Amino acid sequence: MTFLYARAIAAVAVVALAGAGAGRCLAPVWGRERSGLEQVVFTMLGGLGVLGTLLFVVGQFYFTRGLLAAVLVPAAALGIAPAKKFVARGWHFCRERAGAKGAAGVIALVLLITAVAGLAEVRGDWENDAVAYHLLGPRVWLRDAVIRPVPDNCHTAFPQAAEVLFAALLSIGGDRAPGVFAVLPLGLFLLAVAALARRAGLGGYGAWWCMALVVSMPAVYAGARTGFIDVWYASLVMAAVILLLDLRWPADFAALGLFCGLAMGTKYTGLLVAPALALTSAYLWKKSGHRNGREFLAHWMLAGGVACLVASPFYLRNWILLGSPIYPTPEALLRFFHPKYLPVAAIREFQEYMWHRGAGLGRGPLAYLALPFHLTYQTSRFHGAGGIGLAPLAFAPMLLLFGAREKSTKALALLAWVMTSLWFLQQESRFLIPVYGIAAVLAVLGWRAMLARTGRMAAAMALAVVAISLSYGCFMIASARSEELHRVVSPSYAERVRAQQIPYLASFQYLNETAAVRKVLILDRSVPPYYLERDYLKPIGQWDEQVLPGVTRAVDALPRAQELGVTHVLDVQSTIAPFQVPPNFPGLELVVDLPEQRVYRVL
Amino acid sequence: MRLSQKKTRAARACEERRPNPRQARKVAANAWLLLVLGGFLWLRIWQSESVTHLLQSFARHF
Repeated sequence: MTFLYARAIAAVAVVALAGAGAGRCLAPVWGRERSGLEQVVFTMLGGLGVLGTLLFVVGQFYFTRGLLAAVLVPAAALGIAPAKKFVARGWHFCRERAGAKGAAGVIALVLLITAVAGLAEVRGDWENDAVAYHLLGPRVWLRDAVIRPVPDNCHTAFPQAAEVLFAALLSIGGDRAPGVFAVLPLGLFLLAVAALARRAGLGGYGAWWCMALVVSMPAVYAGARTGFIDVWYASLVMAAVILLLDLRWPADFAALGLFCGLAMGTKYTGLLVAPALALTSAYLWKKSGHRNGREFLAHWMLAGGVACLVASPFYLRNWILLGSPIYPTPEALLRFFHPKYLPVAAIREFQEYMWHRGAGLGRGPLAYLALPFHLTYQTSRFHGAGGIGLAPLAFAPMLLLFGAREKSTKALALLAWVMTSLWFLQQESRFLIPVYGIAAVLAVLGWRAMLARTGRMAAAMALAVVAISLSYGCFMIASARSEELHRVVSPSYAERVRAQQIPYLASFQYLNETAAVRKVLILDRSVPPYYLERDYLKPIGQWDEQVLPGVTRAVDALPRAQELGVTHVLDVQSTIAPFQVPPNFPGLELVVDLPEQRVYRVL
Repeated sequence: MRLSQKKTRAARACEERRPNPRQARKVAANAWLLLVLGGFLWLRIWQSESVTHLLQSFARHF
């Protein structure tokens, strides 16, 4: 077990160093006159993002452990020098915490929980996104030695800059590495929030409290768990927001475009970020006394061009291989694109599911106006159980009350409002994480403004607000990960509950350990193939993808098993369907017969 | 003009029976914080299932 953990930690260190090395080459884009904190944030985020994009492009042709070593080892060697500098700067920043020891303690606690719980084995069924697709794609790519969307899960065709890094981690560090890696994006997100706070006029003290408020938001933490990419995506958006507040030279716009492009290459929601940033940038441009609209447009064309260039591999690949740059294709685009594997009915069903899932607390104007209250008190309905704490709702309005004069504060408020309005269309809490980061900065600005103009009673109540936010958030986070922590500290407990947490474990064990197994036919669409270490075929995918032409029911593939190279068939009785192999089906021999799971050998 | 003759904005407002904007903002800030904290106590603690359960078992016990 110790070796497993050490290997995972070493892999994360190598990938982090490689990110620093790749980022070092990009440093001229954002300039060397920026603060030490911003340098760390931009170098690490830009480096890891570009590394993921580069591996994705090369991986379309060849994706082996040898290739990963050939890219990561030189990049990591290049990263040693900047990493040393970052540690020194980090130490310097930590020393600025005078008086913010409570904030530092909260941050250390949550990062420690993330690191230790990340060592636990990834488990769960098809409802766990990490198992269903975030880690499924990387596993299949490594097995096939090429990056391709998995046809039976359309979500593996989402932009995959982050998942490529998961593949590198799985290859070098084993299946525990992506869990440990979760600390890095979370830490970088916190640093990005701190850099934004400094840019917005807060000192080191205020920046620490911003980080503490953000790290203790369970709704943020939900996007930082093993295999999730939402906090990584939010960090890229935050980097773009930091640049937005100080756009002076064309190179700054190019850097902004780089981070927008990386966000678009990480999540489709990144496509909506660039327009929101452009609108806020127009406000700042006007407030700065600029009158030359043509120059503004030229700068934004540069930013847009860089963003499209950086994100293009993900969208072009989908267009070439799957028939649509955005896959699953939105219904409105079906007139122009004809996606493979996904029937129109499946697309409609998927969109309906997303629409209902994003119902939140209603879609009317009243629900829109009540958003700040609902986000604070009713977040479980936004799939972000635990909420964002009381601080944003309590302190951000203080900026209105006591007058926010700085244009950076007004710009952040405008950006948060535009992004929240866009998000209102699809209310998945995790998609709003960048706004939660901005909200924490606005909250601490409001807190500071309030303390300067009110008395002891308000200060005491403000303290209560912060104490409740931090303690309630930490309690929710710790309780959400207590089971994984238990598994890490008690291997006997982990072994005892393994069969309950991994569906059809006995069948997977048989298929993984039997030498004669070459290709498995999975009949039930709810079976998560993440646990299977062999090649497989799933004729009907999780979202009703149809992998084989003309096969609309999984069982119809059975007569063609030999022709398809299938050696074994996995049939289960799940929550959505009974056993599918008919009794005494010719050409099959039952080799595993357990309650709810059967494995057949193809004769 | 001597210092004692100077009238603060607050004193002038008091004489003219006008609301003091600074004081009004202070009161509004306090009221807002009270509302947010009260909302938390009411919606997240008082109405939470665990507290209801705790109170019910307390009532049964006595």
